[in-house]
Amino acid sequence: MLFSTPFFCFAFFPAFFLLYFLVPAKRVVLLAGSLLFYAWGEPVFLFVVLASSVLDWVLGRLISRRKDRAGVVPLALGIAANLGILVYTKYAFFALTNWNYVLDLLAQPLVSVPKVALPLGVSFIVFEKITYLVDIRRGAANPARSLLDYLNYVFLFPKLLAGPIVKYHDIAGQLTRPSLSWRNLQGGILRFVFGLGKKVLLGDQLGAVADSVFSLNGRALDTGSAWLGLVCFGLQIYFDFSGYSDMAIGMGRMLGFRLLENFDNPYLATSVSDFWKRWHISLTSWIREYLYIPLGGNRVAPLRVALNLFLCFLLSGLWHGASWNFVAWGLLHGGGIAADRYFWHARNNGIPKFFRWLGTTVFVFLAWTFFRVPDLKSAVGYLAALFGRHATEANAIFLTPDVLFFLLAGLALVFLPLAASRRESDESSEPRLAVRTAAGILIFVLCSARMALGSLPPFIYFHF
Amino acid sequence: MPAIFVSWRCASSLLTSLLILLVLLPGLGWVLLDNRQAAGHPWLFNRTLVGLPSPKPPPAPTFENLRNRTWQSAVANDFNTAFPGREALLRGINELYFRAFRMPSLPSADMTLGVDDAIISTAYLREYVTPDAQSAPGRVT
Repeated sequence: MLFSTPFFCFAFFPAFFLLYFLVPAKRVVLLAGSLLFYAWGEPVFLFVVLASSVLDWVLGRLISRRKDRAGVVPLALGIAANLGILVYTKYAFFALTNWNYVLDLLAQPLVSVPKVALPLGVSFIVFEKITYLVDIRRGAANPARSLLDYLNYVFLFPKLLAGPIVKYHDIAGQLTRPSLSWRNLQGGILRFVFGLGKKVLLGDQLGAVADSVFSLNGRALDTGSAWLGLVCFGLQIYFDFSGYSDMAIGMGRMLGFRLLENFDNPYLATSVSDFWKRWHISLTSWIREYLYIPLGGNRVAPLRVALNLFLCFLLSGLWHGASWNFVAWGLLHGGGIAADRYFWHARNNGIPKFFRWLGTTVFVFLAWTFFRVPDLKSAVGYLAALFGRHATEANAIFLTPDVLFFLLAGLALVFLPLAASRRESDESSEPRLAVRTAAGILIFVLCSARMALGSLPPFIYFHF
Repeated sequence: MPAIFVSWRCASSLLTSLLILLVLLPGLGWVLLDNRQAAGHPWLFNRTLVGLPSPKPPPAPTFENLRNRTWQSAVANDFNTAFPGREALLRGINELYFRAFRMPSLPSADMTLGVDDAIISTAYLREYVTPDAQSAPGRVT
């Protein structure tokens, strides 16, 4: 069930919220609504997640009772069970296909490759479930007081399919006492509407252009159109994903939960490291807390730090998708961070901020090529088109008046420091809140009309 | 608290209530008006028309239909294509988009301006209207 459909906005969420608001047993209603939400899209995998959640809950209790080394066994078992789900559903096909390639080179018989449909939100769900077990082992949180609370943590539907990745210790205290108030409802609904606007009015419009451009073979593209497609995709992925995060945070707030921010004006970053402090913050902080620091963090030898950074970003790339272009995207960013750390960091003071921002932005946008294309060969073809290797007749057809309007609006929102620094703060003053609400009504009507037309694509991060 | 802040608070609360009402209206209309078939298939209520298809009955919520999501898709699609107010919203966005950019809001759609600047589908014109040689180029009377 997509957030950006009339069925969700006008039927599912209002009906659910009324019930949640009226019925005293809020946690039960929340779980029922979340299970219905997930079953709507994944009626079979729901039972896998339910079974593995019950296992987590039992293992969490065992871990909390065994603070000695024996507690490592249930922890390892829980992590292995969760990663097993992820590996089987997401990586088995990729790994076996590549293994068959090696076998073929060695003239050995091939192994059969199972085709498993990727369940919705599996990468997000598994990472969150792991935080529960690790947090208990570390003593950062107590085990959930009841299975109901733990299931609400796993299935909380605003963040279920595409994050933000909520770490258990960040939300544990809220699970038993969601805080409903008029102020939260006001702030939450506005946040939801602004997120919907980002997705429906900007992300999807620019995404249609990016889709058209990227669907052409690299050789049929002129340089201008290739850059237009890349910029449109860079804006689309930001508006799509940050729009989803805004909707999730907004709905969470309406339901009485504070979810952490996931974006902080990422395209204003002045280095690759800075970009990762602003983009998909919940994933970056997950990788830092549960992977980078356990690997030694900054306390190991410089070469080992660089290796750890590469490993973390390799896994970050693989987390996004099981294919070599995502590996390349992750390694590019790993290389960018390592270069930041060992080369640029020392020289940054001598370079004007504008040029640092420009260099970072060009790097990030060029790297998006690997994220958007289906395979490495297409990435090479597209990069060649970007740098004029396949000069063809200009495809000016892409830059129609509406595209130009949405492109300029998108660029202004992400790049103009004044516009971008206007954080969508929930704690606005009263006059500001009234103006924002009036704007929210206009945006909501426009979004409703656009949703009524249909044919809106799903969120990009639903594929992960 | 100064009066001006009280009035701003009232304004923001009223506007939020209006926004909430806008969210609730289509669902309430769906429950209260029961115009699903009329909105999705208006010809059903015009007895003089013949040869038009009847809507397929919705799939039953059987285990198989739930497992393969046929039922869920049908329920959502039923609402998405026939919720109260959809027609007005479609008309509004098409008008707005065409006035602003002189192009249809969906790439697949094909529209032009008729008399009195009324937006009209070229597919409809091709099907039902003979071009008028006297009229101005690009306009249809």
